[in-house]
Amino acid sequence: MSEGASYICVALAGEIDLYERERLDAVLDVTERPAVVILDLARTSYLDSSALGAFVSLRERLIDSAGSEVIFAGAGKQVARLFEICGFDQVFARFDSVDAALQHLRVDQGDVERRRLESNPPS
Amino acid sequence: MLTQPAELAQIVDALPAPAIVAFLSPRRKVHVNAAFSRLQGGDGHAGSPPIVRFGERGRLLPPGDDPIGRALAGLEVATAQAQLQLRSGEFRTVVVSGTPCRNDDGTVGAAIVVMHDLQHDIDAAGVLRDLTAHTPALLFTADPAGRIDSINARWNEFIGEAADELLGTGWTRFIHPDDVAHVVDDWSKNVQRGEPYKGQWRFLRSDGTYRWTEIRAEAWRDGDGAIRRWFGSGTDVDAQRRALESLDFLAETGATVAGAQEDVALLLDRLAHAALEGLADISIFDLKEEDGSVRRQIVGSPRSRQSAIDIAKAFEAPRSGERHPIARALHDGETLHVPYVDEAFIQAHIAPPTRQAAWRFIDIRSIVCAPMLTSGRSIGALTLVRAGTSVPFDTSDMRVIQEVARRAAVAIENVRFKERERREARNLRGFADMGAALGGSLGLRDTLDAAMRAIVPERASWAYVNLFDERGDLRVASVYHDDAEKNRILASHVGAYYARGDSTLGSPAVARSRTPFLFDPIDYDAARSFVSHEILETFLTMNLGSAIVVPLLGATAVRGTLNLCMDAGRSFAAADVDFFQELAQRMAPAIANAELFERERLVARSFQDAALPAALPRVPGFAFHAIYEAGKAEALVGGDWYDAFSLADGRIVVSIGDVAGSGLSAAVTMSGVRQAIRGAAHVDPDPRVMLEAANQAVREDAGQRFVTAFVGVIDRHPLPVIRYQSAGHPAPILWTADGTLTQLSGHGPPLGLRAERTQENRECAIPPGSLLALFTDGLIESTRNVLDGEAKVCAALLDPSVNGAEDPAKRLHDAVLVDGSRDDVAILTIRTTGGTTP
Repeated sequence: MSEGASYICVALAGEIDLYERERLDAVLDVTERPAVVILDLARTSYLDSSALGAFVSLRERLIDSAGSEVIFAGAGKQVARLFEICGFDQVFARFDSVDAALQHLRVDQGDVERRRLESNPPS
Repeated sequence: MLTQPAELAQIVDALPAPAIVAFLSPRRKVHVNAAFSRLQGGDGHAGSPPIVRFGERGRLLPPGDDPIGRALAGLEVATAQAQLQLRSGEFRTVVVSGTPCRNDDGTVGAAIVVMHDLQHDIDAAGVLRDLTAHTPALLFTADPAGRIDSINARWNEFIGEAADELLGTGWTRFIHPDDVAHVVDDWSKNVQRGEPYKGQWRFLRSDGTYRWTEIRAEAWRDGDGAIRRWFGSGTDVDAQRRALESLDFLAETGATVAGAQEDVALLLDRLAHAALEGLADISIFDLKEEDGSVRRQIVGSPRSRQSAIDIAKAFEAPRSGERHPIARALHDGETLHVPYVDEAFIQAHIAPPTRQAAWRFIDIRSIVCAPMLTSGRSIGALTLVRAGTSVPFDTSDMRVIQEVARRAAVAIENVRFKERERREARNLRGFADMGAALGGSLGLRDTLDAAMRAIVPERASWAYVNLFDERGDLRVASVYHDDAEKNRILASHVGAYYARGDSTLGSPAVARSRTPFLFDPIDYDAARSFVSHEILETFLTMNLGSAIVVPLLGATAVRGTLNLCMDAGRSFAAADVDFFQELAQRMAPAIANAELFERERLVARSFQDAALPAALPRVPGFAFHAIYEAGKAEALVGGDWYDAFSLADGRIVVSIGDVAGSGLSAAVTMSGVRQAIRGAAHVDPDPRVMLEAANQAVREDAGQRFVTAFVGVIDRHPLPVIRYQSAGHPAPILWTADGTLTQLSGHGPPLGLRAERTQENRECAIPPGSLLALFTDGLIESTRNVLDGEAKVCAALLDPSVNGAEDPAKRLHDAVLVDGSRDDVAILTIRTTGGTTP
């Protein structure tokens, strides 16, 4: 556990695409520094390139403050393959679940701020 | 009337037997006759009020339980033995008969109690004769078989001259026809059982009305217990009974009113039927509609034998200016109460003669018209009618009817309010649908299609859009019909000339005035003068009856019209023009956005077209093919690119990539990245260097971008080989003639990230007769299932009709994206032919 870091877990559910961009930017708006953001992708079925861009952008904003990190947790097959294709595995740590990530970080559940974004079902 | 103290005292005084009259108020005040005073014993306290008490086994009974108390409670006390307390304090056994005396409203006001002193051996029949002659009640005796054998004089007042006809079984002729069957059955069964009888019968009174009459009877048995005679009484309880029915009715209207949620017609029907239960033979609701017309609900009682047509004739709906009773209740809020409708009334108040005839035919006896008042104004009238043999409405009936009318008014206001609320909610929902539809579309065509889909078929049978062309005439831009076949017929007119833009009629006029307009009905003759003949013919085939035309307001000018069409026989609601006015205003910003977006898209597309290579390299032993397909989803016009060019040393540089985002700025970034790769290639054709240059270009770009790219350099000698780097881009796939597929994987992170790129270049041989396919994510993500998308691409590449195709890029695209793609797709294929030049 990093001393003084804020831990934020953002759960993303459904298909996160361009139409969710505004809401995605809102849940990824992290002002605390340093901050460890865990993106919970257990219920994410699809991420388009605009969502991937938002993750990249978040990492670029956080990376200047030591102890900050963006971590992926619980990605399913589809999302895991997407990450493989776009080379995210080279730069982002990935865990099987949020619990595993927290265990790794040695952080208590209670110390984590929870946020969530439920995508509207595709029309 | 029957409880006037003086009158009752007179009756009692006239009786030879000991008798008293007791009044309920003041409490149990009694008047006694001379015979009673003698029986009770010496009067030592002349002038002091008499006290009459009964006892049982030497003890005083509570006043409520003694014969006086029971008679005052409304019970007939027939020849029961009781112990009368004498002045001396002793008790004397007497036979007692008690008769309650009722007020007009059926409540008991007094009781007459007649006694027979058993110690004086007076003939009991004589007592009865005295009693029956003088009591105000209707009394009768019947033989053991239940046949009436004597009646008292009161029946003459009630039935009239014909009272003697009651004797034997004649009484059945005076019972209401609806009741007679069960009354006779009830009475004869009771006679057989020999139990005390109580029932309510409707007797035909001398004035021709049926009055509810309560009949009680008790068997008079001899020493052996055999029935010698029936002794019975009748009491007119009509007013009481009707008061109860009114209460029931009020309770029922209360429940109906409270439960009224949905529908005015249903509510009126329920109330009208409830009124028939006890209150009237015909009930009529006239309700002023919001548009000034009058809605009417008439219900005739199944008991009355009038046909609905007769009733309708008698009570034609009030027209404005008429002064008949219903109109006055409806418009002026006056109550009309005519207890006795007679010929004079009909002559004076009912016109015309046909209506008078209907009143006579139905035999209308009594009528009340009450206004339905709410917030001080009348929204309708409730008319209740009693016909034929029914009793007239009295004042209390009238008050009940006024109350019912008032409650109905409140209920109807509630229902109307809810209807308005529902209509509002429906409008709001319409706007919400529209908002969602408009928010999700950026192109003008999409915007208009979304608007039409939100309207059809709920608010219009079908719809079409006209847009002004460059010459200022209207052309059909889009149509929408819910029915696929009709939609197909209408769609054949899309793009066709519709009407002259300068016409002063129809859609052009609406566009100029910028105000929605309802054309109802469509004037086809007028339309012929300015609308295309072919289109009019189609409209006739479609059975177009009416239309609302809405102007489409863009950012600076009117763009055209949205035309909502209704099949003949179906009509727009009155509020629809307002709704579409609102709609036109809400659509205006969406149309303006769409205009802006279309301009930007045009520029971005031009930019992208310019950025893509004009020609692919022509190199011996290689064949290059490429396809760029813009996505269907306009929002995703993006920054995909492919590139291939030859260097001076003969090597070939290929690149493919994707800038996420849409529109002009994505296209600009794409162009910058592609130029950076080209520039670096000319200085140092090392994939790693080229990618780093691209990374710098992305990082210098102001916006945060997600950019993926694949760059490769192909050496042709001695055998073709590609050295490459990937930045988060889908791996190209190599198909070789032996039927194997190889992914050119090399998963560096996307461009723009500050990350170490220490990865070495990778290499892959491209044997002669192979096909290398480079593509963007649009090819594998169109179904939003990456694994599935990759599998499809692999399957297609293994298919000889793809890997052997003249233009493999196009074939690969068509084979994988059968239904087209939402996203942009770029594909670059490199085929190595057998022959290489040394």
